[in-house]
Amino acid sequence: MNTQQLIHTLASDLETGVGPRRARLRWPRLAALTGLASLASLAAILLLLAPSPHLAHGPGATIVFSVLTGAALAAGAFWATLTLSYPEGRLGLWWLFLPLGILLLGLGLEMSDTPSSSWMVRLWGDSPGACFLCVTALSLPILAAALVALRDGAPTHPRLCGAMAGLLAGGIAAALYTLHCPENSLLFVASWHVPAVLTVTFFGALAAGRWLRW
Amino acid sequence: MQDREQQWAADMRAAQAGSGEAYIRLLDSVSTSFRQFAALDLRRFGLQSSDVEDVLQEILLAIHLKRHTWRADHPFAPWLRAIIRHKLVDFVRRRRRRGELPLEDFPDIHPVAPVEPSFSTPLRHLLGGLPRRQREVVEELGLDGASVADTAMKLKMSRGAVYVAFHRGLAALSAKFERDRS
Repeated sequence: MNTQQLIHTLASDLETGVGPRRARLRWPRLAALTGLASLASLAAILLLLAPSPHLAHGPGATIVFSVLTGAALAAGAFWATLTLSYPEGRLGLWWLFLPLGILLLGLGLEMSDTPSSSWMVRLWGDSPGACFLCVTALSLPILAAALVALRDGAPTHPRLCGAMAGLLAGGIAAALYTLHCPENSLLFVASWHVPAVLTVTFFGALAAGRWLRW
Repeated sequence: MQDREQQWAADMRAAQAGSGEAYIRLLDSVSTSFRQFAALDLRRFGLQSSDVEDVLQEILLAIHLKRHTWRADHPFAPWLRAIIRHKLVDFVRRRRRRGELPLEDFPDIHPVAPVEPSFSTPLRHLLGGLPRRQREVVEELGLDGASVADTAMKLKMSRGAVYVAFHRGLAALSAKFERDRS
């Protein structure tokens, strides 16, 4: 087929109107799919895991800072993922200062409030491995949903786009997981939830390298 | 330069609204610009003149299949340049050319004397791998320029089925390009 024929073929394909025609706003789709998957993860927490013992007397500092960090991470990563899903999208990371700042502020408050002799105990908690695995596992459905939404896009940096989707999924899962997490320390959150989020980010980059190519 | 970009954007807007005429004008203009660019900068990208139409066809197919990712309120040129760069890098990488390509500063395309389009058959052998119906429809509509109504009658399909097979055929062709890379 020569190029002129191809162009006419594509034009008649356009006129059939079968494929996506108009520019689509993809944020509602990405939001809807990740939202649905988040609900699934939330249901898993509520049905399978015991509620956090610390919720009984209102959300404490650990829960508030964890949720805020996760939400800020998810919001920034959502924006970054969406931006990178367009061909001309460039990566911006300035927004990472917000979740990092929140987490560091919380850590600072906790460490100034507690004796340094208790820090290692707080950091290790009782269930480091379980929490790491739980946050990772709860992120995966959200990551998968985000990748499905992104198949519609045209990322020219698919791995970066997938990594941002991983941060998005990890942020949401980490925030939700505070409903269960039996530990009451941001030192614990920083040393076990954060690596879980980074693991999911890595998975996201890996999966996107395969699935988001075009 | 400014005029051309505005013309592209206007044509793409019309194309997204369903105008095949504007779409042909756009793709023709993009092809001409790409050939001019390729004629000047061919060696810098490690391409040979025989590659130009191959890359161009992959670019056109990518523009087509991802046309919904251009947002009408955004400038057209950065979108186009990103797609061209993406496909060009892909193509060059597949050719296993070594060395860094200075793609970051993909230049704006300079007007020079038009280059005669050359012919290429990268799609021919790929067509053979399509399911029969899709292949027949793409051949009828694409290669022979038959009308949808005639094709439907000849292949004893509904017009809707012809449309769908055509679109799927094009998508499958793109996927085959993708697979060929590895």
